[in-house]
Order: sequence, then structure tokens, then C-alpha cells
Amino acid sequence: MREPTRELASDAEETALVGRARRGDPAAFDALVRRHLPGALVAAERLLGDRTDAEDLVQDAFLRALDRLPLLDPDRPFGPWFFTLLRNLGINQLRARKVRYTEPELPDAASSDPLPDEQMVNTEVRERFAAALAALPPRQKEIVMLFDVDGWKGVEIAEHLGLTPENVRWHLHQARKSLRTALAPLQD
Amino acid sequence: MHDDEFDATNPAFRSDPAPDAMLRTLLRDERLRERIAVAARRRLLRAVPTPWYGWVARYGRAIVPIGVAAALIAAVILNRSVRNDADAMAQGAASSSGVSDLKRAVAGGSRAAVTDAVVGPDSTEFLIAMVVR
Repeated sequence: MREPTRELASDAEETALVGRARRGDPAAFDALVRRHLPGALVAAERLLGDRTDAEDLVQDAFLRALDRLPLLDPDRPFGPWFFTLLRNLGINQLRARKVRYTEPELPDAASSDPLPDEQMVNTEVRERFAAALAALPPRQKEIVMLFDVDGWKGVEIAEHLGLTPENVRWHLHQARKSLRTALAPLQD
Repeated sequence: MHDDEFDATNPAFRSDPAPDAMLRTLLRDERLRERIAVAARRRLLRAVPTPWYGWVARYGRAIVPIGVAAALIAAVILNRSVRNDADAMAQGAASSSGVSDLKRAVAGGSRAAVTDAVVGPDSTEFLIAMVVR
């Protein structure tokens, strides 16, 4: 059950972020991206059927949104406006590829976008996760990215970085431990 | 696997750990967010109007060599056109003096004077002048 006051606070916060982003504040725009990135990725992946294409679409949509922010009516919420932009860009991309498609079940802002409550928790955890990732020593960050995101094996990373595989796995262990600590509230 | 100190003999580090789907998703999202943040910052920087001193700071190093090169090119072009003008004036003066000599000779000069006016005076100086030039 959503608390109306919290929802209102979230909306007001978002309106303030849009205003700051419109005036050229990169931190405010980054905060908007952090809020809507998970929902945007789900929507884009559902539309295009491929994670890499979805990432490109989401990046394109956010940058276009940044360009068009001055056109957004200050009384309109950012989320639905942004998801319409994302959807239109995705459909154009599909048309450009000349892929035969039936109108996909496009997630509207209400269905794909996490509810404000979930979004708040999500954003909070994500912020903590991002901080933990930024605080990792550069070598550990590189190793965890190569292993967990790019799917490299320990031996390959070791060869790439001139370390022993055991040393790579130790760094990986340390990095994962720090990141999981940031996720602890989510896992409770 | 709780050791914070690296121990190469620890059996836990002999093989790769199992993949963690949640970490993977969050790390991928975070990488994309960083990518978007970098591109957005670049765009926002470009959108800020550059004051005149910004342009000077940005192009100051190139302005001096470009100015020197432009001045050199202008000097060469100017010099060449001045020289061409002088040549043209000299040529014009020479041809007008030849016509007036011919007019004078035809009007009452001797046959030798007319010949001199048409084919040049009976001397080898013009040959020497051609060779020297």
C-alpha cells in the first residue's frame, strides 16, 4: 500500500529535479536517470528483445529527453513523458530495421515503471550500491566488471591483468563482499 | 571464505565462484548509468554559451600561428600585385613612346628614322639587353 504523502514527496522531488536538470545541473539529471533506468531497461528490452539494443535505446532516450527538457510542461510528470519518448524511439528503431513486428505490448508508465514506493527503495539501494562500487579499488572494480558483467573467466582476467588466477578470485571475493554489504537491506 | 588477507593456498580461490545474477544486473545498470552520465555532462557543457574569453582560451594557441601565416600570405599577394602593376605601367609607357616615335617619323622624318621607329634602332644594344635580362 502506497502512502500518499510519500508519493507526493516523491513527485515534488522529481519536479524539483526536472527544474534543476533543465537549468543544466548534471547531478539532477543523473538522479532522474537513476530513478527511471531500471523501468526504462525493462521496457526497452521488452520492446527490442535484446539487452544490448535496449541499453543503446535507453541511452538515446535519456539524452533526447535531456535535449527536450525545455519542452516539457512543468506541470506534467517526467516519467510518463519520458516513457512515451522511449517507446516512440524504440518503434522508430524497429521500423528502421524493417523488422516485421506486431505492435508489442508496450509497458505504459503505470505497468513498467516501478511504483513510487518500490522506486524509492530501489533508488536508495541503487545509490548505496553505486557508492560502494565507486569506493572499490580500481583493480577490484575492473575484475568484478569483467567477471560478473562481461562473463570473463578468472584465468582470462588473470592473463589480462598479469595476476595469478587465485589473486584475481581473491580480489573478486573482496569486491563482491563490499557490494553485497550495500545490498544487505534488499536481501533482508 | 572470510579471509581478508590473500592466501594463495586457500582452496576457495582455486576455482571461479558461481555467477551472481543480481550483482550482474546491478553492475550492468550501473555501467549504463555511468555511460549516460558522461554523455549528458558532455551535452550540458556544450549547451553552455561560451564567453569571448572562453574562445580566446580555447583557440588562443592557434590564433598566433594562423595570424602570422595569414600576414605572410597577404604580404606575398600584395607584393606580387604591386610588381604586376608596375610592370604593366612600364610596358604601357614603353608602347606609347614607340607609337609617338612612329608618328613623328611618318610626319616628316627621314627614311632611317621611320625604319628605326618600326624595327628599332640600328644597334646591338637591344640584343645585349635581352641576353642580360
